[in-house]
Amino acid sequence: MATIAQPLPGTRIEQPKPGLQIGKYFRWSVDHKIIGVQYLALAFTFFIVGGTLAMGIRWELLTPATDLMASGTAYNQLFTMHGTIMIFLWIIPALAGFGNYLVPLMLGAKDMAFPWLNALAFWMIPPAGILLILGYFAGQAEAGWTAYPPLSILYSPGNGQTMWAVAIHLLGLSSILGGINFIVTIRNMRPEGMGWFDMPLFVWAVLATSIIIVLATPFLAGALTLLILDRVAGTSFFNPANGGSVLLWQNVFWFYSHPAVYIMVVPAFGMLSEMLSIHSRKPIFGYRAIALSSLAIALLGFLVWAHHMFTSLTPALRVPFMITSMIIAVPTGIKIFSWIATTWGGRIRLNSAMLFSLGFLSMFVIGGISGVMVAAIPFDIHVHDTYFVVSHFHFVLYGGTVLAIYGGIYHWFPKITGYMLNERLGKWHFWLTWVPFFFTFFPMHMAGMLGMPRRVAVYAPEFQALNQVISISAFVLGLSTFILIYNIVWSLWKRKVVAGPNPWRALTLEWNTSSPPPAFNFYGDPVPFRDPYGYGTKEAWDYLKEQAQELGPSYPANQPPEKAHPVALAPAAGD
Amino acid sequence: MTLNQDRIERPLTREEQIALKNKRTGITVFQISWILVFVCLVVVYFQLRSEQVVWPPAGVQPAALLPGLLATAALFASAALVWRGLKTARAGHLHGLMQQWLVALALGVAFVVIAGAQWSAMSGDNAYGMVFRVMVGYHLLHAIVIAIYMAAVLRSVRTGHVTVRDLWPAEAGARLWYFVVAAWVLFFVPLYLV
Ligand code: HEM
Repeated sequence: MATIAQPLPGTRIEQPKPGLQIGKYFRWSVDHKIIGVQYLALAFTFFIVGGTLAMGIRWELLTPATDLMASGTAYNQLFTMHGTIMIFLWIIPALAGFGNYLVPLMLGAKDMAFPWLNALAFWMIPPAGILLILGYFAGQAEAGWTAYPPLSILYSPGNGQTMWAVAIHLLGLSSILGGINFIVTIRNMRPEGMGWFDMPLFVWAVLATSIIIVLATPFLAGALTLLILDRVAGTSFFNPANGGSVLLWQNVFWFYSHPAVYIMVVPAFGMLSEMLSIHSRKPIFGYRAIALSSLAIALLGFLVWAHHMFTSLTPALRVPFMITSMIIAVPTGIKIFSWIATTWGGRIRLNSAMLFSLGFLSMFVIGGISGVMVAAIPFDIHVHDTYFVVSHFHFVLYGGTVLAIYGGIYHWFPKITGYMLNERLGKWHFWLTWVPFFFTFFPMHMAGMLGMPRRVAVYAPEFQALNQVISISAFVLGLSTFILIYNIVWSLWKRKVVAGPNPWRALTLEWNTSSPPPAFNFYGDPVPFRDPYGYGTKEAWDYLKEQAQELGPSYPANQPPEKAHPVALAPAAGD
Repeated sequence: MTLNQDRIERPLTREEQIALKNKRTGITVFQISWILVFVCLVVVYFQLRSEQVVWPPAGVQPAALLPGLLATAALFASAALVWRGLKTARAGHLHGLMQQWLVALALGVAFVVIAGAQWSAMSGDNAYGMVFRVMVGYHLLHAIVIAIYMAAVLRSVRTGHVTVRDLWPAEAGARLWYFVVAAWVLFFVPLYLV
């Protein structure tokens, strides 16, 4: 057993606790850590809003007739806002939050390349969110999150649809600014001597995502500009009656939105790589393959957009897009197998972070398989616009990304706050999420294959039994979120269980500074070690000691590493 | 060495060098990203065009080539002067930068006037006119904003806020102006030539 040269994590302390200074999270700040938390907190708030709307959807669908909603239009508005909020105000900003908090720490940098721009990108989100929601008072957007014309131009009379487009425009701009900042930070702010393949896989994932953001989001900006002009300036880009084209929107929108699907999932892949290896107490399997497959996904993501339009696409183009869509399963498969190999034979620590990571693996694989199914043209034509599709993307976005975000919260909360979350509550949270999740979304496959269309408030009575199972599971799923909220509030309120710098005995750089980290992240300039997952090993210690003699004191200023054994095998929080 | 001299002549510190490197990479990534909005509009142009039997639609006059060529020539000449001005400044002659950029800006204004005249003469009540007006209008908006920024840089040069030691504001202005040229080429080819 290794000697632990610091208080064991999870130790209870009774000393006076430093104040949490909540106020600073409500103010303009250029510190990437504060901005990271601002992103996460704001996104989570919107998650609650979007989740409440989801409960409204499921309440409405308990019976085949309209009951909660006054009309079909009100239902359209409901799912439009649910989808839009979940995508643009929850998933994307939440992942940006993790990126902001972690990337500089993982690189050993003091901050992002452009701290001011970073703050600006964040502060564009609240007004956009408010604008979106205020649309309620102006005739809410009702054309779905995809805003297909002619629905979004000719049949959405309220100004809410225009406000929707302006809000998404702002959010897209914020994303682009964030993406630029990440690319520059990752390229230029690595300490001397840290090569590309010395970066943790989360950083690779953020890099790939940022490349997608800067290359794809401008297309959304272009399309939205035209949509806004069609709505307010009398142009008719999307109105065939005056020389426009409805397919034009679909092409440009999906040219952004399919790559955007990877914006919503690749950072979660990165988080998973970190969590699975740390909690399996094993080095990550296939580091380079995982890193490069993120880039491959980023690239291939641009070649598949028309699979969303199989039913309206020129038949000759269907097969090429089917092939590219199938090919994209390859780099994703590489990751999945590498993760399984990482856990294989590991001394797995089944804590909340690991449970959610495994939850991701299980559900994301189902979403991936149904993805390959809908990539097959004949099958897609059968289930297009049915609940099968709703099921597929919730498996990917919720079963995948949201579970990874939950895992990430349990994993990095100790670093961010200096305190542990309650593990027992975490496990309750996991089981009450994972099981109801499955029963909410899996039966939607069946409803879809049996022919239940999506985006309808009224459905054929034979689907009622399935819909009741779905709705009841959804209510449990919705309620389970409050366990996490309670856990966070309780932990921050009581502040009983200190985390220490490295509660998980992790080997990446961010765990080699105090929790929470000081203003400039590290005490001194960290010297990089060639293995991004090797900080804390004996080898790293010897090497870095040597470097410190030459370059002056640097790493790890506050955490003497283990004498002879890898830190990873030492007892950790919850052991 | 006086304080002011020190501000002008002291070599860049390591932090300042990193900041400059960041700014250069940042603006490059931004340009790669933002040019794609222009690419998007070109895609829109071709898709609308592909759905019409004749292009421009029957009875619609396309934009005249000669003024378009003139505007393009003015833009290219201005970019060349912007480049030369920056080079002169790097060699330590801020006065040269002022002179060249003033002419460049005048040429930029000529570009805006000519392209603007074509923009306002075009009727937007048909597919061709609509897409022409949006593309050229969008480009003009960029040209005007960036020209204003360059004028502000010139003012800073005059007041001594931009010095030979830190020419970044001028370099940024130049890079943005090249962007205006690249974006125009992207539009000029489909709108006037193909
Ligand atoms: C308890 C959780 C959730 C439930 C019960 C739920 C339920 C639903 C249902 C039933 C629909 C289909 C509405 C219809 O077509 O009539 C829907 C649509 C959608 N959901 Fe969710 N959802 C949940 C969470 C999420 C999350 C976490 C995300 C994304 C991260 C998300 C993204 C979307 C999107 C993009 C749509 C499409 C909206 C549209 O058709 O325009 N949902 N959701």
